[in-house]
Amino acid sequence: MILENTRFGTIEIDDDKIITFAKGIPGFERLTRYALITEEEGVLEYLQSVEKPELSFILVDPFLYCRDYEFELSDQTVEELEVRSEEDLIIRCILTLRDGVKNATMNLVAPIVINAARRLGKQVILTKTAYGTRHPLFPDQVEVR
Amino acid sequence: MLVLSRKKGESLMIGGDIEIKVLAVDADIVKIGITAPRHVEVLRKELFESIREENLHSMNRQPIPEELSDLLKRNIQKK
Repeated sequence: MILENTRFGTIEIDDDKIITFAKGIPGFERLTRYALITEEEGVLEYLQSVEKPELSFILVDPFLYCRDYEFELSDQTVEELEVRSEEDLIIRCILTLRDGVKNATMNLVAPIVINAARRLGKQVILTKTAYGTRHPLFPDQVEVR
Repeated sequence: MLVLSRKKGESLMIGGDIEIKVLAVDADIVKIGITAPRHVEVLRKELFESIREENLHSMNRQPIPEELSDLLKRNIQKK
């Protein structure tokens, strides 16, 4: 599939690389097909909608920026994503840019969970968690305004 | 929207497999019991809305500042 994207120009996504989010993600319930794009030599990753080229999210690996981050996948999610092995899972969080890049946050309440083996994904909403939706990524850099 | 009244201890069925029961009523707080199949996700609406709003805000529109990549690299926490 060829995708015209304002950020990446023309990108080609193999059909077998497409990840299905059966229920969409909150706010974008009708869009169910995404691709995980990693920038060459960058740490940035994107969740790119293949149905709506202008829609993408910046993803980060939460464990790199919050060492003690942990959560338990519900039986329901394990079933939905057809998880057989923990090793198949890719866990990312959506990054939000706000008021300058140093104040970037990530949403630890609703991680993006992908079963790479089955190419199924879901934005899981954690109900019993002390983490926030706006966890600062660079707490040492925060600009006081 | 369907509006109906229930007393404490009474239930509603939604479809054949979702039961909503009023467990207790105390002033303006209603305690509700929900029995639903596992694939049905039950969430407090405020929580769902907060995630939705955050997602809408996170939608990647502006060009990404070059500084971001750099900051991410520099701020990886050591084990």
